[in-house]
Amino acid sequence: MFKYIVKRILSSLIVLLGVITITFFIARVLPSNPEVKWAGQRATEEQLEQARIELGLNKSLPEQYVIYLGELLRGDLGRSLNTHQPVTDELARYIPATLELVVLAFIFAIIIGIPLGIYSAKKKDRFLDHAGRIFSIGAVSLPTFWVALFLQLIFYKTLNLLPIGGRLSVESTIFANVPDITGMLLLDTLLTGQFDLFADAFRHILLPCLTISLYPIGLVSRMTRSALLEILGEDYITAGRSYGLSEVRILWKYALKNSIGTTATDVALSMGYTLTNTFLVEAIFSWPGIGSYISNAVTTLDFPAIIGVTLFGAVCYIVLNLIADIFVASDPRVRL
Amino acid sequence: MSNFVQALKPRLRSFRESLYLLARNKLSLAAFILLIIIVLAAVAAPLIVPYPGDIEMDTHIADQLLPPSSEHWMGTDELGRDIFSRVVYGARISLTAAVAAVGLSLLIGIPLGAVAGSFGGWVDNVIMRITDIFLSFPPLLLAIAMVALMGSSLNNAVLAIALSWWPWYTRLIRGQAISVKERKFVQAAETIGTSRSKIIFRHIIPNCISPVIVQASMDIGGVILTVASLSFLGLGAQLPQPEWGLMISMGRMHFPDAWWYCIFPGVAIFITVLCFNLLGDAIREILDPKTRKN
Amino acid sequence: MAYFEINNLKVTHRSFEGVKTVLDIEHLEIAKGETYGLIGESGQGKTVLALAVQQLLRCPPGKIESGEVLLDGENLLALSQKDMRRRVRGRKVAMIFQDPMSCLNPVFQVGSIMTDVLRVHNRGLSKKEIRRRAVELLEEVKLADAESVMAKYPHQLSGGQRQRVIIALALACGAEFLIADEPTRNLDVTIQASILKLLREVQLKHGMTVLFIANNLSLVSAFCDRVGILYGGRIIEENATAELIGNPREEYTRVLIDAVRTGHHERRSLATGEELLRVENLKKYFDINDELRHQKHLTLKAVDDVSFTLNRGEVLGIVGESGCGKSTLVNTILNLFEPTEGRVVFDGRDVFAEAKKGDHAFRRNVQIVFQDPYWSLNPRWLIKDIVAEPLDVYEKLGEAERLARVKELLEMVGIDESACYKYPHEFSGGQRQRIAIARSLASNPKLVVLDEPTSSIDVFSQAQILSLIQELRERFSLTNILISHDLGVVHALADRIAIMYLGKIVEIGPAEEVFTHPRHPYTKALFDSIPTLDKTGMDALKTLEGQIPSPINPPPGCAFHQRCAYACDKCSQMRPEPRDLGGGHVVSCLRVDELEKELAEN
Repeated sequence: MFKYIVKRILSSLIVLLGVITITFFIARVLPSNPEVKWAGQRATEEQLEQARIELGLNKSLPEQYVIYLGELLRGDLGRSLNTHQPVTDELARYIPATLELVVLAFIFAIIIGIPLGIYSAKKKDRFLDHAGRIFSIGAVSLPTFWVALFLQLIFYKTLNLLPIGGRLSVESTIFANVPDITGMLLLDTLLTGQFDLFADAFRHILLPCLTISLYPIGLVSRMTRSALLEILGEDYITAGRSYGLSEVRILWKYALKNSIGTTATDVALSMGYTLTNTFLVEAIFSWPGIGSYISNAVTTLDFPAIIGVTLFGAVCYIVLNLIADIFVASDPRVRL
Repeated sequence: MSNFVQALKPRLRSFRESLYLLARNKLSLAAFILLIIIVLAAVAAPLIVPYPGDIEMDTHIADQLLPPSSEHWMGTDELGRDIFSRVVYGARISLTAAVAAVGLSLLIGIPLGAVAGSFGGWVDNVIMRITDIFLSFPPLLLAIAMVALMGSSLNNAVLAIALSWWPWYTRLIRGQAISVKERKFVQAAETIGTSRSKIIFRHIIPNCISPVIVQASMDIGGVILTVASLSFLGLGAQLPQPEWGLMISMGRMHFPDAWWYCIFPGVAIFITVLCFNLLGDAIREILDPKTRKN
Repeated sequence: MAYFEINNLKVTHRSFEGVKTVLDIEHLEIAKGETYGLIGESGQGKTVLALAVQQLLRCPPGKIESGEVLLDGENLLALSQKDMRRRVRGRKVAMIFQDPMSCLNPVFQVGSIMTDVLRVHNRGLSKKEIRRRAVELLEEVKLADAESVMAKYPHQLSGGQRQRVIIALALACGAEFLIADEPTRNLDVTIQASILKLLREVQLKHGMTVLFIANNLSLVSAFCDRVGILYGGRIIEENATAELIGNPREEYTRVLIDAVRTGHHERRSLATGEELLRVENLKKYFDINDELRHQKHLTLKAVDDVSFTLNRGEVLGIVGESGCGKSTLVNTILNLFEPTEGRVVFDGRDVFAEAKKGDHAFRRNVQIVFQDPYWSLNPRWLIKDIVAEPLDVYEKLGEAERLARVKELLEMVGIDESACYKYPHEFSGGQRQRIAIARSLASNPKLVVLDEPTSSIDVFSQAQILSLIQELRERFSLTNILISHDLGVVHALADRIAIMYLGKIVEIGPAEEVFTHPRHPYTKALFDSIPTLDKTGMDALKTLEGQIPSPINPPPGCAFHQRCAYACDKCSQMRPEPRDLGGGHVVSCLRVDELEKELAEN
């Protein structure tokens, strides 16, 4: 088992190298004229030349590649073309807000999605199963950015229950002493015991969180349902019934344990989608995370920033898959 | 001719069986019918919409941002164009883009997967490692990066989606190829002395393609969402194309006062994708040998 | 009133083709303590019956239209699921399923499954007592080292061990009525016999009534008091076992009986003295490198030093249990697998050397007919293309000529030429096997390998396929290698037979000689454990104890010594060399002479 984990980590590192190479190619081979961006539209030829040297574009591709790898090893993702600030610093500033959002959405996905899937499988072909299925298929069919707008329309415009965006209300930012320990407001306010601020932050995170958790809820419940149904059709389930085991036991003990591996993989997959959806909706909710950052970078063609976010996303995804695989490998059938 | 009919018979039979299974579930049947209507509407869009001129260039400043009414079922946009006409035409753009993106991915994915699965060994290893690398980007993110740097346009968006989508098909078809390779008829062909290329192209590939095609048709819904997302970010379709995602993005500027501008294109995306997903679900169930057997 | 009774039970199945009756039993009764055998081939409704009794049939698509199932006077079909669960399943009726692989939950240890079931039916007992009871049950089903079995996962057990666990589970709840649904299917013959003996033992001990479901008569003849024949969902004939076998009324019953009767075929040998194939010291090892099991470099010796010759016109039958290497041997001879070592000479030419030079003439001369005709024909090809595949490789024919040849080949195997434009799934198993045979003959081969040619087709077709093979052999003077575990088939066709055990040929010789006078202890045990109609009653069934060792770590010395009743010290140390006993009867056993003497003395 230990050996397997080591091997799996090593192969993840190789994949990571591949990911870096691909991003390098996207950044350097696709035509995007970064030097113009760096030096400004009205730059003279000398200024452009200077920009190329600063960006390291005057060297040959292999050289650039080696330099790029070296910089990455030092945690250097280059400088943003817009702000001329190191991308790494900017990312570090934006990541906590996104992480807070994703983790909460993820928790929603698990505590709503899995029970929904189980329930659907249990009541297969009954009314509630159909309702659950329509809900979960509906959830994965909705454009996230549109859901964001729709929720704003209802909860802000019509009902005026929740704020339209931001992480805190204006008054809180001005008058309260906002803690900054982890950068995740919910956690920080709890740690410092500022429950008013916590409530405010919670009110703000609710809409964006609901928006992005919709997709993983749908995905997880759908996958859980189908994994369970497949297992419930197996011979050993029929056998279990023939021994007089109760349905409750069959579902919760027999079938569920078998479906854990599949569910873990699906949860990891759905995390990837959550991350992507964050990129789409943060801007709508004025949420100062990496989603807003990349939206901005995309419109201004800030390629080091785009590549930085892409790499960050890929690393998260690789780690998640690694965890899911290790989880699956703990299944006794695989261990042999 | 009669030979041809004879050869067709078993296929018809399984088609009939599929229809029977599909019709058993009212919801999937409804999705199927609705989807046919959407496709027909997309094909005939310029002929059937009430204001064909509004699809792209016409402007009616006097009529800007009118709420839904009997004249403009979904209201009008900031240039006074009829949103209903544009939404119907949008189906044409979204469907074409999605089919093109999936088709391109298949074009890359199928040969690679088939080669990897049939040959095995180092060929398989190299192809699958590359596939793994592409799969380790979160969905959409790689496409965003690529279009951002290639320049925003609907064509580039389609290309970028295809370039980040193909690994799924490669993986799927490779798995199929590996299991087909183990079937006895492949072994039989080997004993007969059939050439390797013929075994791959005539025995293995035809037998592993149909699940991939099914998967691809189920993916169209997801790809429509992706196209809309890219357009929403300004990376896909460009003005004045009536693309759904782009329309929502434009509508945001007048949101939430002119809510209809954002809401209706979103509903169109939702219904189309929902139909594809419902149908995909039904197809999956139909093709599941367990369902079929029972 | 009978203990168990079925009256007018009718079960239908709904599909897109409409509603089909899958089970229609007018009357069936079983007395207390009786063993009733229900025989039918697959698709005749056996399993539907077993599931319907327990109300475990999936509805829809199944539907119980009418009828009653009485157990001790109580109609089980009238009970609710809850009552079934509380009072019937496990407590009164227990089941043993066909496939021990799939009916134990793979993620739980045996102990956990056992205690779970025990707890349901023994609410009052403490954890410790339940565990003790579980171990007792495992001991009762003769699982050696029951304690350690408790901690194992199902995949760590062999098929026979798993089936024992399942029997223990059936006993766990104290049921008095046992439904055994093909309990020995997928098990090797030597294991099969010991499972049957175990079943009989627990039946007697617990005073159980048994409904034994099987797909052929040979097992039942040894085990059951009365037998019913299930065909098309109906019981077409029913009688006491000996009476039914001796005096069958229905045609179908007669076919079933003929199918398992050995040695009644008229066989005409075509063997000549001229050598066609010579296999010399052939070895095929597989490297196993399992990362997850973190075991380095293991070698699986699938074929371990095999030599034999085959003369023109001869049929060599290769017999052995699953995993003995018979399929690997054939695949290696056919050069589908790269040989590890050894030589194959066909028609005077070294096969492997010529294949390396790129000469594949051998391929044309050697063809194979596979076991399962469903998988051996490409489902997406038309029959005409399937049959013509060898023609396309070796003779470039015009379309018309090609079609004419295909029709000719199809006619030879008794398939109408209209088949040309159909797909494989439109044919029955027997017809598909005929098509596979037609294909194998298309390139005019000299040697045709028959890999279990009849084992996955219905009994009606089996006999016809056998006589078709015999007819074609004579017509084309073919030489054959026949792989089979069915001694009846081997008896019908083979001139010589070879017995394989763990990658080695332990005995080879003229068929009659080996059948009537087997010399290797394994051959004897193998023959004895196969139930036949000629031996009725459980006593005739000899069992072979122990598991088949893994070919990854074969025991030192004679591979069979751990299970051999006659083994002595030297057997565990010395490898027996093949020894010719005269007349081409070659045996690899260290004690072959001593045993012969012992036998003569007794």
